[in-house]
Amino acid sequence: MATASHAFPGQKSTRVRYELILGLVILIIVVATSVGSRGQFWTAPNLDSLMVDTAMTAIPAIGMTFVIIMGGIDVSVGAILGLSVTILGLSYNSLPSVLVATAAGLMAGLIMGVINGLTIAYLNIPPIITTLGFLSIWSAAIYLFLGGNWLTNIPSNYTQILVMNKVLGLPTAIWAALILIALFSWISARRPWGRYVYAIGNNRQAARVQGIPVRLTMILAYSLLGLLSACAGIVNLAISPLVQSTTGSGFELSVIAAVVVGGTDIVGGRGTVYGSFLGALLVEIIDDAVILLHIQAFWQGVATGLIILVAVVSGIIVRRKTDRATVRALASEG
Amino acid sequence: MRWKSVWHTHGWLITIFIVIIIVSTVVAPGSLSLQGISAMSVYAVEIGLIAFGEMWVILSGGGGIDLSVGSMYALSQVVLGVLVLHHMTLAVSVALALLAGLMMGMVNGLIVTVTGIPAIIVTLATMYAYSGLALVLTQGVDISPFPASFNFIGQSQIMGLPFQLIAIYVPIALLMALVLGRTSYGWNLQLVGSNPIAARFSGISVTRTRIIAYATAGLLSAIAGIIDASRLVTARPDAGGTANLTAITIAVLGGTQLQGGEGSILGTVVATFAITWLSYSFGLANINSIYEEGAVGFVLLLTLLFQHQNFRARLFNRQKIVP
Repeated sequence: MATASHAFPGQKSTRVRYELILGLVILIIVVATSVGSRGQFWTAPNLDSLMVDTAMTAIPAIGMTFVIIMGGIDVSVGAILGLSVTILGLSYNSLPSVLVATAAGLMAGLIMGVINGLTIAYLNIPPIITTLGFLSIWSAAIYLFLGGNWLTNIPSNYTQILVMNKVLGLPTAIWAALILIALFSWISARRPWGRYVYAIGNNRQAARVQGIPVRLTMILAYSLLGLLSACAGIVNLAISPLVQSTTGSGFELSVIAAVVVGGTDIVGGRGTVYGSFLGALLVEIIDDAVILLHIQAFWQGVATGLIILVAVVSGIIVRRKTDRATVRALASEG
Repeated sequence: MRWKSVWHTHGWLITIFIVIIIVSTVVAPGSLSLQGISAMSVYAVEIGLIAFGEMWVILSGGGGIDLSVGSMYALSQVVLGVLVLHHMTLAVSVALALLAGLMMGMVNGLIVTVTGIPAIIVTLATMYAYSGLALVLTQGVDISPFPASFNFIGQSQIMGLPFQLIAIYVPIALLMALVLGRTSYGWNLQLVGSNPIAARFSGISVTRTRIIAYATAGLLSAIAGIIDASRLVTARPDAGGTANLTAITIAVLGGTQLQGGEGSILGTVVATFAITWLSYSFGLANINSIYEEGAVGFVLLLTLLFQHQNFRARLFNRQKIVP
């Protein structure tokens, strides 16, 4: 027990340090953007759209955090988002009830997540390959349903509720994201399932030997991600009430970038849900800055790639220090 | 006895190949003709070269995979286009484009081996960086005038077959098969892929072997990119969008084990033609390319299902192998 209490503060202090660096980077970009855009950054429309965009990335980033901590990955998030809003839109077309359509969309996302989870847990196919395969299958399914057409008959309630409605001056979407972040932070730190996820990510064999339901935990994590991707789809509909065959494509990379930038170890075992929120905020602020500072959009891909690399490398440096501190603490103990 | 072992290792590939040919012939009856095969081999060459590189990287083990092959394919042809646009001689431009591909692959390999970041993340990041650079270099516009002397690479024929098939693809395939089976580098690569610790104790540099594998993937993508630019007389910054998925599918379908250390050139060649056959007949039947992508994903998952030991054991009623 004493050993654990020594090892834990060591990890905690570097965690805080990493998140401090992240906060500092966000602050620098905010200051640079507000100077460079001559105050346009602080206008209400820009801040609102930044908040809603952050919510859209942060919500599936919660699920992605669990999946990556567990040692997995899911690159089909964008396609799940696209197919679930397609099903939402189609069901609204045939039965104009917002509740039924929402339920259909969320159910579609959940089912796709369950399929991902079942395939990965039972067939032992590497998650990246499985989800890459499903990415193309779901994309084909979107095209099968839409046939190149657009769905424009989207309930306006989403925009009304998530973007227009303000609670304490902030759009409801960001509050929803914050509540989910708080809930899943608690689950990851205090509930059995949350601890199972870390245990599996650290050592899957040991977790299985200890009697942790490895497969069930994995299936739940991927299902949660599927459901949250569908939720992000609804936020997407609130931002632009339109479904087309390219809806959601490439979105998985923003989500993975947010999680990795947020300090989650890409090989699993370590990470926090609130870190991913900060990561989502950083990724979205950079996107916003690219637009406000009139930088050519072509640079966005280069920037995204570099941010992921820098974040992963700095994460590795911080983690090496942590490990050394932990070893030292253990050595002085025994 | 020999056939039994061939069936054991390549049975599912043969099965899937036959199924694909049947499906393709049903979808587009014209694809099963000498003319059709000659026409589709043009496409097979480009994706086939990229798939060789992908196979090489997966073979090197340690979770090796390269998602940036499509971006290297695009960026190297853009480099070629930009140099030609700035009145560089053709030979020098082609050489520099090849060098660019080699360097990009080497950067991938260096980051993967030196930092220890999983290849999937490194190449995901460089995929963005390279295709972003391709867009930056061209301002998002295709570069199109190439000197007429450049056309022979992608448009001429030798004995009724495409030049790039006879003069580029077949020699490279033979060379790679020779390297893999008959040279020390090929053996090192297989050992590094299947057991890096044993390789290190045998005095083989795991780092160097893997960096060369990634650099090879970059070079092969660049060769494919140059052939593509010559065939379409255009350098496109957005070329190769889904080439990574297709290349991984081909490599896996061709019997390359994702854990590394096991794979064959012959299997990759057969898988290349199977996948190209599928997409060619889809194109011939005027089916949207997104369905082709979906079909490729489906084939990929099906192949992995077949490769899965327990599944095959159950299917062929053999002894169950528990990992």
